[in-house]
Amino acid sequence: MKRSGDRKGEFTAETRSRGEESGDRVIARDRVIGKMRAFFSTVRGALREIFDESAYDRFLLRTHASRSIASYRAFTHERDASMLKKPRCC
Amino acid sequence: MKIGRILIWLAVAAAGALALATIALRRHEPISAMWLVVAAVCSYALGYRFYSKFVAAKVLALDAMRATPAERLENGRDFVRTNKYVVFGHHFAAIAGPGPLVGPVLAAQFGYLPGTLWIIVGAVFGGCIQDFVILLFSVRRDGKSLGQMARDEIGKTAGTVAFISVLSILVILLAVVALIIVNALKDSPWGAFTIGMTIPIALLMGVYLRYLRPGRVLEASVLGFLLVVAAIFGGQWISQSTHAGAFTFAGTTLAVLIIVYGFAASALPVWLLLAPRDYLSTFVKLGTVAILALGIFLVRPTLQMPALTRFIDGSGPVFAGNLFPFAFITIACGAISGFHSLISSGTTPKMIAREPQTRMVGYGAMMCESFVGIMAMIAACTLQPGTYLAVNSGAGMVGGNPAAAVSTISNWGFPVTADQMAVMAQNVGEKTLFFRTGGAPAFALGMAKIFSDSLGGTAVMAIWYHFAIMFEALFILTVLDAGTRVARFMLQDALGHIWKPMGRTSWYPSIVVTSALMVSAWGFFLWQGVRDPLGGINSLWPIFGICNQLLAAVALCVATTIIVKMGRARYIWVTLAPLAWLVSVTFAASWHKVFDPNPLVGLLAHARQLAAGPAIAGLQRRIFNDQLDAAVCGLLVVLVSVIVIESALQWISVISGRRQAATQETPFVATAYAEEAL
Repeated sequence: MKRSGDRKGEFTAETRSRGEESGDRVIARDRVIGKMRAFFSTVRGALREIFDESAYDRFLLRTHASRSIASYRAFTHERDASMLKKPRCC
Repeated sequence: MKIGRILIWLAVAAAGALALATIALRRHEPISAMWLVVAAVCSYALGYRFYSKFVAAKVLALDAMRATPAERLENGRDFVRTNKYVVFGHHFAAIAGPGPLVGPVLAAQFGYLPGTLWIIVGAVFGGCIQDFVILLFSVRRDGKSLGQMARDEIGKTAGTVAFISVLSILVILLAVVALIIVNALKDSPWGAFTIGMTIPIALLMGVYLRYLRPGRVLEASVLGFLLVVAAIFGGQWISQSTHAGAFTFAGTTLAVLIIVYGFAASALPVWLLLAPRDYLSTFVKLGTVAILALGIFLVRPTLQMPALTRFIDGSGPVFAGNLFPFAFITIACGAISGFHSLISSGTTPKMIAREPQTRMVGYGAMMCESFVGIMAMIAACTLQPGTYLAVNSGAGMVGGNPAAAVSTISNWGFPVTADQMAVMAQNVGEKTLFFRTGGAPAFALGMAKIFSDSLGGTAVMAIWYHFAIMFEALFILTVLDAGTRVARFMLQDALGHIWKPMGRTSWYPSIVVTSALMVSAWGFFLWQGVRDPLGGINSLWPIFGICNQLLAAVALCVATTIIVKMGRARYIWVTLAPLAWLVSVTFAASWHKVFDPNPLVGLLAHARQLAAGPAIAGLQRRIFNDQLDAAVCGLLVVLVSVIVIESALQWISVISGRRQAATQETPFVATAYAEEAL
């Protein structure tokens, strides 16, 4: 027959193991959430690059300008030259 | 390699082999489209993991410690170090166009087997390698273009040949894509209205971006997309109303409208029409390709087309010509496309942060493009073969009217009735689907079938069909806009050497003159195609395929020369094998197009047949057109022969030690991001 102290020890170990299990689950969940966040931020980054939004941000940074009609006009003027040479594949 | 990984790769190889064996050997019973998907995905995975890694390590010796131009020349404008996944998306968006959708649809006349095998094998050993090596070599030369690399590495003549090849391919390409639109929209008030509306929508987006919400491109694209969807529903209303007549155009009228549009798009400010249309098209393109992939996975359609058809003997009604070489020039972009080398040596090399990323971007993006080709093949082959042939054959090939067409096609062993075609046309909101050559309508039908099977059923098939037509036309008009501008720019650049003011890209008289010249050039071929009783595609698509593959041959000549000069001649086969294949395919196809005694294939034989026949209206013009097409083919072959011979002489002199191997690579500079590289 097991003594109560032993059972207590068993109980504590079980709780600890459950706690560790739930801790592992939290870590795994956080990891998944982190990966999903990274994935969506990459997709967003790709879309912003494809649609020239990042290029406009870089232009603003480079020219120390703020988002405005005038700065966007200047940006598109600069962009025209590269658009001229940018083929779209068949 | 760990045992677990070895087992996984063995399983991938086994699955791929099983799928390839199934599509190659199963006969007389329909198979699931998923076999094509599994074969393709497993082959790409193996090609990427093993072949591209071998090329990266042994042939190209990618160096993570070497600074790329994006780092050395970073200016926040063209040269920008960019996340590899972002560059991948950017590169894929630039290389994906209507080609991988149309080519496989046309080649489906041979059955699903030849096209599928060529798409997979051509991509893994040819197209992906071409895009990868040209991207890397451009990165190692400060982002130089293909033409500049040809001039620097092979010689001045090669540079000139590359320039003429690019200009020629642009002219033929623009004519062909314009012809596809004409054939998709003729006598279709729904389609014409929807596509017509994309022009004011793009203009509205331009104004929105410039004046209302500067720089909010994604927002404007979503808005533009919603408006385009509204235009599709508006088109349905128009087609059933008394206004339908106002939007019902004959092929020749549409051709004139597209020529006028092409000129306007080339001469109008970029921000007003070209840029917003480009954004809108890209938005729709990425979304639709993703939806199509999802639809195929959900529906897992059955292929109705046999593995091989009787038309492998060259008697096909979609386009005439034997399986070899015509299947291999008909499918260009899904397997190997010379046009990609222009993108790989354009904006992409200026964004690469580290050399090893060229593998994922160059090889990987082409794999995705090839998969789009597989999806197009599936879409075409899910149609009943009789329906596919009735839609894709020109009136001159199967009989001048629907009754004659169904009789001819049924006699070939592909049963179809006029009633079935009428029901199908009614389901998609069209008056008729007969003689809709060009591939786009057949692809739209297949896509609408897959979409409607997964969502909405027959009730919404018309909406899906017109969505697919809109998507393709949007793609194509973007290629038309951008292509005309690029060609205009190249022409201005060349004419600037003769008379300086012509080289000023912002000088309006120069813009008008060069735009008019380019539009006239492709407009001429378009007009010829529209008036062709055989459907136009029969003569123009093979010439386009030849041009595109010849450009790929130029790119592979440049790549092979650089590999030899790098002192890695023992690996010359990596680019030499696809080059040899392309040279044999394109030269054989050109020979057939020019000299084949069958008038349906050979242009000169066709001209002779016309001359010997009864006098009909426009006879001299049609004879001249055939002779001109033959001359274009001949000229391109001669030009590419020059570049191949010049390159071969370089290889021989370097390998034999008569000439010192010296590439024009930018000298090594160590990256400042060494920690990141490690």
